[in-house]
Amino acid sequence: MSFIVFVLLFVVLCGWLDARIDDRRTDNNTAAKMSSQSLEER
Amino acid sequence: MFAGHFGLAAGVKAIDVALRRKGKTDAIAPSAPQRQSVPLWALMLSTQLLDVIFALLLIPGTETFGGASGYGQGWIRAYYSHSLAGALLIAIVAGTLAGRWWGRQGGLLIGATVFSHWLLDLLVHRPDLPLLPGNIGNFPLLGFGLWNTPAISIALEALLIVSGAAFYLSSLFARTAHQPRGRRQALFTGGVMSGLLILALVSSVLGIG
Repeated sequence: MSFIVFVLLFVVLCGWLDARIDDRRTDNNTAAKMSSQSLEER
Repeated sequence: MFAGHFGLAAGVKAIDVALRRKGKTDAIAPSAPQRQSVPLWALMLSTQLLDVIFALLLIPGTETFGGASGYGQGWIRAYYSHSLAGALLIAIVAGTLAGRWWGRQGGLLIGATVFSHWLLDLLVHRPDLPLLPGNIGNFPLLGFGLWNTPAISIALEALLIVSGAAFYLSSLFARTAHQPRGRRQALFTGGVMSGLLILALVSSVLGIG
């Protein structure tokens, strides 16, 4: 029983928290690219 | 050896992040497309894949387990999921599938993580791991039996979770270095991971569940 609980916790909870970090990095990179593009256009 | 498998997966995530960062720095063309790093959920699932298959094979009774409850007191009769050839086959299939999504490096890391489960089990199990599926040929069963000396096997598991959590936390700091509130998010994510690793070890040692 504890095996299933821990597998779910590590896969779902830790996996989700870790993926959030990559999502934020992608968002930041995209925002930085867009702002540098708009500067170039000006 | 339950928490130890997860600790190893956390360490592998840090290795994957480090290798991809090095690859980016070494790339001749910095604009070359970079594949996404292997997600943590896939590594966590990979490190326990043999036990997940074992759990599924318990349903039809193909594999069984028994023994007293308590740390390292049990035995398994897992002649398919935990045979050397079976574990290699599962690792190769998982690595090949993972390679389609996360590239060659990702596939190799997933395959190695899946097979690491068998290697760690080999250290701690009493002889109950066969060479071939179904124990064809009745070769001697394998297992170095560190569970007979719980202090050593618990120390090994503790070492795996502490080093895995430390590598993972340092990789989180590197990944969030340039983000606003990145350090806080890294500490939170690493803290949850470390807390769960300790909880898994404690529940395993106390024989809970």
